[in-house]
Amino acid sequence: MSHTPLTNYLRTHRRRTGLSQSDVAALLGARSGALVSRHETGERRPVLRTAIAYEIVLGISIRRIYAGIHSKLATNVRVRATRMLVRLEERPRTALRDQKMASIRRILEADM
Amino acid sequence: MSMTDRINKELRTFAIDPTSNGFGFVVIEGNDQLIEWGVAKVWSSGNEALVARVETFVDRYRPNLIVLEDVNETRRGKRARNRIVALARYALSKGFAIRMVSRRQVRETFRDYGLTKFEIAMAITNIFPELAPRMPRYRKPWMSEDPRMNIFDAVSFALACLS
Repeated sequence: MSHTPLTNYLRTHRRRTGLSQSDVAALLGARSGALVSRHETGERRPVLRTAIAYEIVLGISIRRIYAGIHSKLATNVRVRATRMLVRLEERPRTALRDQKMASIRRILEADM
Repeated sequence: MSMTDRINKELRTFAIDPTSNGFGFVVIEGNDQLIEWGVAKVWSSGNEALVARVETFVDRYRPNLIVLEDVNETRRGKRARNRIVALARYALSKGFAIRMVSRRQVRETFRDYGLTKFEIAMAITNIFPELAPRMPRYRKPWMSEDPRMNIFDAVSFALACLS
C-alpha cells in the first residue's frame, strides 16, 4: 500500500500551534469553531479567502496544508502538460512555440 | 538515502495503546511527522465499540501500518490484553500490516534517555515538541497513571517499531 498524502493537514498544523478550533475561527472572523471543524474533517472546503487566512494564521503554506489536493492537482496538470507538449512539438518551430515548450518543460521538471 | 529511510517515508503509522476506557493513539507519517495524537474515550466495555472507534480513525488517516503492544511480553491485565488482541484481529481482517512491540523493545530504543515511562515521555517531548503540553506531571507512588501517558506509550511503540 503506497503512501498518499491526506487531503488536508489543517488539524495537524492547528494543533501544533496550540490554538483551538474556536481560536482559529475567531482569527478567521468566523462565528464558531464548527466551520474550522468541517474544514479539518474535509466535510467542507474553504473558499480561497479562508484558505489564505489559514496560511496566515498557521504560518504554513497552502501547498503543505492541502498536500493531498496539491498532489492530485500536480498530477493532473502534468498529464495535461505532457499532452500539450506533444501537440506543440508537432507545430512548426517559432520563437513563441519554443517559449511555450520551455514553460511546459518547467512544469514537468518542477519538484511537486 | 537508505532503503529503510525510503520505506519509512512511505509509511503512515497508527499506533494504539488501549486503556480500560478508550485508547491513546498517534499517527506518524514517515519517521518523524506527527500527524495526530490524543486519547479517545470509549465508554462501552465491549471490544466492538473500541474497534468501531478505531475504525473511524483508520478511515480518516488511512494508515498502512498499525502498531500495538506485544501481548506476549506485557504485564498488563486481562482486559487490556483482550482489547489489544481484538484490535490486532480487526487490523488483520482488514489486511493492514501490523507490528507488535514489546516494552523491552521500547526500553531498548530509548536506553540512552532512561528506563522509566516518565523518562521516555520526556525524551519523546524533545523529539515532538508539540506533545510537551500533553506531558503529565511526575507520578508519585500513590497517584494513578494520567490517561495522557497513553499518548506517550503509543508514540514509544511507534518509534520503537520505526527505529
